[in-house]
Amino acid sequence: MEVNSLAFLLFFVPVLGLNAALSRWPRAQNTLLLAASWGYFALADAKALALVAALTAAFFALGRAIGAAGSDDRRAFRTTLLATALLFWFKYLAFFAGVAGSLLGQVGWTRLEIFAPLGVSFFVFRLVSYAVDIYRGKLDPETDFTAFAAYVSFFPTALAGPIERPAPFLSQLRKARTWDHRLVADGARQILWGLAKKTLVADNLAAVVDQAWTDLHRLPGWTLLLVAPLYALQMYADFSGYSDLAIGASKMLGIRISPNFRYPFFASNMAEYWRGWHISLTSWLTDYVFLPLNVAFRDLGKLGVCLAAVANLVLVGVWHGANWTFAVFGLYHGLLLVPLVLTGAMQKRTAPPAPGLLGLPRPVHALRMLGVFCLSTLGLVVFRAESLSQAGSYLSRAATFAGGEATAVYDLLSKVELRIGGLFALLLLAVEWFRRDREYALVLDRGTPIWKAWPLYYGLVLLVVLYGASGAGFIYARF
Amino acid sequence: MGREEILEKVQEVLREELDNPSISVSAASTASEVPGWDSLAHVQIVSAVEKAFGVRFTSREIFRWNNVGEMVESISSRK
Repeated sequence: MEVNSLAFLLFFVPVLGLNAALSRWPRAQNTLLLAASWGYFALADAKALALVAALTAAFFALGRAIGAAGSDDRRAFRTTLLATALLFWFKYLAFFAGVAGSLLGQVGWTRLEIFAPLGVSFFVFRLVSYAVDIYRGKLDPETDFTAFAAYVSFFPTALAGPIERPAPFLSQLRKARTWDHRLVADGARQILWGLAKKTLVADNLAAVVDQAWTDLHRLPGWTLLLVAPLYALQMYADFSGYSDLAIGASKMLGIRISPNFRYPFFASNMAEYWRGWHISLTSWLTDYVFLPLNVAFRDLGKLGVCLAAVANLVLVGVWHGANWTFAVFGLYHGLLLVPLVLTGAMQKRTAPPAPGLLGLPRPVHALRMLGVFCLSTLGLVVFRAESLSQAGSYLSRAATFAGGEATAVYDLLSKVELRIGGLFALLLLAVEWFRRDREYALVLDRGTPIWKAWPLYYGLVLLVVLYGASGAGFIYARF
Repeated sequence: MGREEILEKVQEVLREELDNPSISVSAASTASEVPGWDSLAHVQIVSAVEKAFGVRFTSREIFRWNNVGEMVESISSRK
C-alpha cells in the first residue's frame, strides 16, 4: 500500500480523524498510531509485521538493559550485532551466497530464497540508533512500550523513510498532538507537492528510462547519453516526492519529521550534494559509522578521514541492496570525496553563492552545479543497472557513441512521456531554484491570500490529473 | 594538574586546531558554540588533545562528552 495510492488515502483519512478526536490524550493517540502502523504492515507484508513486533519487543527490553548496565559495554555491542546480523541475513545472505557460489562453481547456491521483509532497512536502522544512543548516554531508555513501538513502525515513514532519530520523535509522542490547522495545511500542501513531483516528473521519465534500459543494445550511444540525466531527475523527483508525501502525512498527524532532501542538484561540490541527498540516511551513517570509524582511524590523520569517508559511502551504496552495482556506486562516491578531504573542503560550509542576473546562478556556480549533476548522473547509471556488466555496456556505448537502430530511437524519442516528463523536470528545477530558501518549493508565505493559494493548488491537481503518469511504485520502497 | 590548567591547555589546542586565536571556552561550552567545531573537526581536536596531554580516550568516552568540562574530567582522571 504505497503512500500515493487510493488505498492509503482510505486508510489515512480515518486515522487522521481519530487522531484529531483523541488530541487531549497523547497515550490514546500513540495507541492509535501503533494500531495503524501495525495494521499498515499487516496489509503490506504480514511476515514483516511479525518481525517488527518481535524486534520491537526485544529492543524495548534490551534498551532498558543497556541503560541499567551503566558502564558494561558488552550488552550494547551484542544488541547492535543482533540488529546488523538480522539486516545482513535478510538483505545480503543471498548476495554473498551467490558470490561464494560463483567462486566455488556451485550454481545451486544462487537459488537460495531469503525472506526480506518490506521496510527492513528502515526499521532496523531506527532500532540500532535507539540502542546506540542509550549506550552513548544521549537517550534514556523508553518506558512506554506503545510509544516506542509507534516510533519503530510509524506508518508514513515505515517503508521508505525518512529514518527518524529516537529522541526528537519520542519527545513528540509524550505530548498531545492537538489539531494545528497551519501544520495540517502545510502537511497537505507538502503531500500535493510530493504527488506532483512523483506523477508529473518521476513516473513520466520512468517510462522513458525503463524503455531505454530495455533497448540498451539497440539504442545509439547519444540516446543513452540523453537518457542518463533523465534517470537522475527521475530518481530525485521520485524519492524526494515520496519524502514529501511521508513528511506531509506525518505533519497532518501532528508529528514533525526532518527534511530528507535539500536541493542537492544546486550543490557546489559532492560533499554539499550528500548533505542534501537522502539526508536521514547519510546523517545516520555519519553518526553511527563515519564518526566512529574516524575516531578509530584518528591516528592516521587525513588518510584516516579518507578511509572513513570511503567506507561510509560504500555502506551508503550497499545499504540499497545486495548487488555489486550498489557497492561500486558507493565506492565511486567515496573516492569523489577524497580530494575534498585532502584539500579541507569537505567540511567547509560556505554561504550559498549570491545569485546573478535575474536571480539565476552565476556562471561559476552554474558550472559547479553542472559538474555535480554530471558526477551524480554517472553514479546513478551504475546504480540503475542490474549488473556491473550491464552498467559497463551502457557506459561504453554512451562514451563511444555506439551505433543503433533508427526504429529504437524513434520508439523512444516519440514517447509523449519524454516531452511531458522533460518539461516538468525543467519546470521543477526552475521552481526549486527560485524557492530554494524554503523547506519545499510549495511553502507559501504566511498570509498568502486564498485567491492566490487555491488556484495554485487546483492548478497542480489539474496538471496531475491531465499529465501525471501512473503505475510505477516508489523506487525506495524496494530497499 | 588542576582542572583550570587543563581547561586552559584545551583552549590553546582549540585555538590552534581551529586556527582562531580568539576562541574562549569554559567547562560548560559545547562544540556548537565554538565556530568551526563540527563533527569532522571534533575528531581532529580529540587527536590533538590526546597528543598534547599524552593520553588516550576510549571511543565511548569521546561520544559521551556533552561539553568541554566533561572532556576536562576525562583528562583529569588520567593525570
